[in-house]
Amino acid sequence: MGITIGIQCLEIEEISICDGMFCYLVDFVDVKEKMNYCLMWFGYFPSQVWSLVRRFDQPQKYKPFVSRCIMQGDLGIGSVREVNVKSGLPATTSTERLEQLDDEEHILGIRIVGGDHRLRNYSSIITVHPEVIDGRPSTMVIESFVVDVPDGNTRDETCYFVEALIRCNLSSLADVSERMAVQGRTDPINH
Amino acid sequence: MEEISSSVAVPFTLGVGNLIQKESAVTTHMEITGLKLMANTAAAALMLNPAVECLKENQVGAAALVSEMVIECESNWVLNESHNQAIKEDELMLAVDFQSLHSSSSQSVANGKSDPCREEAAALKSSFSEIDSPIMIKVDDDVDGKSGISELCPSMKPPVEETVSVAMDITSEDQSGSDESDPKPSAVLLDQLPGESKTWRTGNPNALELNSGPLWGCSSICGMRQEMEDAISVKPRLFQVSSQMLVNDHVNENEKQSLAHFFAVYDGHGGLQVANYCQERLHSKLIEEIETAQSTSAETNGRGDWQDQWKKAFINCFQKMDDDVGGIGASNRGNNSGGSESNIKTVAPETAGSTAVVAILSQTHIIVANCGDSRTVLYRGKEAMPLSSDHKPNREDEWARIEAAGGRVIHWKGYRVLGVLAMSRSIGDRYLKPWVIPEPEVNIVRREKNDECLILASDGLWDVMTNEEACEVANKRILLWHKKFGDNGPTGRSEGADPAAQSAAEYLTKLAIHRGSQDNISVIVIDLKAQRKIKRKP
Repeated sequence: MGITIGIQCLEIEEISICDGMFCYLVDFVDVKEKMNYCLMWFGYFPSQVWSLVRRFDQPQKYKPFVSRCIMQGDLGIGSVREVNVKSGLPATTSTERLEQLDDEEHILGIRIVGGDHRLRNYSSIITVHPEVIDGRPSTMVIESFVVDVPDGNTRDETCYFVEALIRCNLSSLADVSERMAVQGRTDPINH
Repeated sequence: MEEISSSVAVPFTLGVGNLIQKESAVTTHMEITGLKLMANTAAAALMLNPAVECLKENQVGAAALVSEMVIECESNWVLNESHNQAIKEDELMLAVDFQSLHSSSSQSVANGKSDPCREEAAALKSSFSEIDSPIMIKVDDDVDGKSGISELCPSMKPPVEETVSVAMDITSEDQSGSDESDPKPSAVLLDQLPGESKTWRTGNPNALELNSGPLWGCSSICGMRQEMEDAISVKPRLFQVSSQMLVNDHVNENEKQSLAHFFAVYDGHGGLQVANYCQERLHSKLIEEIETAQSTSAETNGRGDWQDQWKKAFINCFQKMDDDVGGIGASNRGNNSGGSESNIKTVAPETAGSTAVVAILSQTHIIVANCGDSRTVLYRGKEAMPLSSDHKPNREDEWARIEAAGGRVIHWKGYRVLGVLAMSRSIGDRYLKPWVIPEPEVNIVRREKNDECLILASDGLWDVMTNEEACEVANKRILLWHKKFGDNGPTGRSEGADPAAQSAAEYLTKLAIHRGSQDNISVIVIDLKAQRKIKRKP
C-alpha cells in the first residue's frame, strides 16, 4: 500500500488514557500522493477492533453519526449500503459501496457513490495493524481518504470537515472495542 | 365529525406524550409516523400548489399577509370538515381534487406526485385528510369566502374539547412535579413594595389571582424529521424567589417571596438523550443553584448585584448539565440510553447535544437564559422583542471565540463549527469541545402592562416565521379564543394549560408545518394578560 512512505506529521494529540489502553490521534498528510490520513493507536484489542471495522453492513455499531444502515443486495465486494445520518449534521443520507475487504491484511475499502453531504468521489481505506508499544500489545488504525474539494470550499476546509468526522468515528471505535473487551465478547469473523 | 377529532387529536396527544412521558412507545411511534406522513404530504402539497410556494417566498411579509394567512389557515379546519363529509374513502374524488388545481400542461406532474400521496392516504387516512386541506384552500376562497368564515364556529369546538382533555392530563403531571420540587408551603405576600402593591391591586383586584398558575399552552410535533428530539418542560410555581433576587434592596431584609414559573424548550440533535436529560433535571438543578445564590446573597447582606446572581445560577446550572451528559463528575447517574451507542460512563453519546431556552416568569420580571439556536420572543405593545439571541457560528463574536480556541467555522450547507454543527453553543456535543460551549446568555426584563404574550420555540418554528408573525398570530388566536368562548367557556380555572394559549401554540405548530418547516417544532405560548381572565367572569 505504501501507506508509510512520505508521511509528514502535522499534529499529535492525546485523546484519552484508560487503564491498560492508550489512545492517540495522529494526523498525517502525504504531500506526494495528496492523500490524507487519520491514524489512531489504542491498546490490546486488535481482534475486537477489526471485528467492528469490517462490518460493512453495520456501521452504526461504532460510528456515532449513523442512525440506520440498509444493505442493497448481498454482502460481497461491490455491495452497496444506504446509510441514514443522525440529525444535526449537514447530511441525511450517504450511499456507500464496498470496494475491498481483506481479513488477512485487515483492510477495508469504501467509496461513497451518493448522498446529500457534498462529498464527491470520496474514497477511503481503513487498515488495522497489531503493534507493540512500550512492550504492550496494541492496535493501530489508519484511515486514509481522497475526496474532491466542493465548490465554495477550500482544501483545508474539506479536510477539516472530513477529519472531524473520521476522528469522531475512530474515537468511538476505541470506546466500543474497549467495552467489548471488558465484557469478554468478540463477534465471530466470517471468512 | 369523528374523523376530525381523530385528526386533530394527533398533535395534542404527541404534545402530551412529550410533556408527560406517559404514552406507550408503540402509540407514540405510530403517532410520530402519522405526523411524518402528514408533513410529507404537506411538502407534496407545496410542490403541487404554486400559490402556497409564493406565500412561502413572502415569509417576511406585511401584517396584511399575516392576516391573510390566518384567514386561510382558519379555513383549513372548515375545509377539513367538509372534505371528510364529502369524500370519506373515495380516492377517485382525490384525483379529481388534485387535477382541478392544475392546468392540462401540468397534469402529468400532478399524476406522478399524487400516487404516493394517495398511498399515504390509504395507509393513514385521517392524517392525510388533515393535510389535504391546504390544497383546497384557494378553491374554497374563490368560490365562497364568506361561507368559509361563517362556518368557522362549529369546526372550532372539537379542538377545544381536546384542549380541555390535554389540560386535565397535564394537571396531574404538574402536581406531582410541584410536589417533589417545591416542598415549601405556598404563601404569597401581596404588599412587597408600596408601588408594587398599588400596581398589582389595580391589575388583580382578586388577591387569589396571585395564586393562580400562568396562562400557558404548548405544542410539540415531529414534523419532517425521522425522530422526535425536541423536549418541552413546563413547571408552574416551581419555586419561590426572594426579593433580594428581584431588586437591589440592600436595606430591606424582609423574607418576602413571590412565585416563579419555569418554561423551557430543548431541541436535541444527534439523538434525544441530552434533550430528555435536560427535560428531566435542568429545573431541579436550577433550583439548587438559585438557593445557593440566595444563601450567598444573604451572607453578603445583598451586596452582590441580583442580576449577576441569576446569570451565575444559570451558567452553573447549564455547565452542570453539560458535565452530567458528558460523564464528568461524581454525580453521574449512569446510562440513560440502551444499545451499543451509549457509553457506560456517560448519559449520552458524545455526538448528541441540545439547545436550551429557559424562561422564568415571576410577578415582576421575566428572566431568560439561552444556549443554542432556539429562541424566546416577548410581544409587548404590538412589538416583537426577542429576549434571546441565536448562537450561530457566523455570529461575529461567536466566530471570533471559536477561532481563538483553535476551531474553524466552515460554510457546509450553512455555517457550521468544523463544517459539522450549525450552532455555536449547546449542552452536550462533547466531540466539539472546546469550540461548542454550554454557557447561556441571560437576559432579565421587567414586566409591563402592555405585555401581551411570551413565545418559546425551537428553530423548527423560527426558520419559517419571523418574530413579528409568530407574535401577531399567537395573540390573535388568544383573542379569538376569548371572543368565541370567553363568555360561556369553561369557567373553572384549570391548573393545567390555558385553553386560549394552548390554541395559539397548536396553531403556530400547524402554521409552521404549512410553511414547510423541515424540523421538529416545539412551541410554548404564555398569555401575559391576566386581565382577560377577569373579564370572562362577569
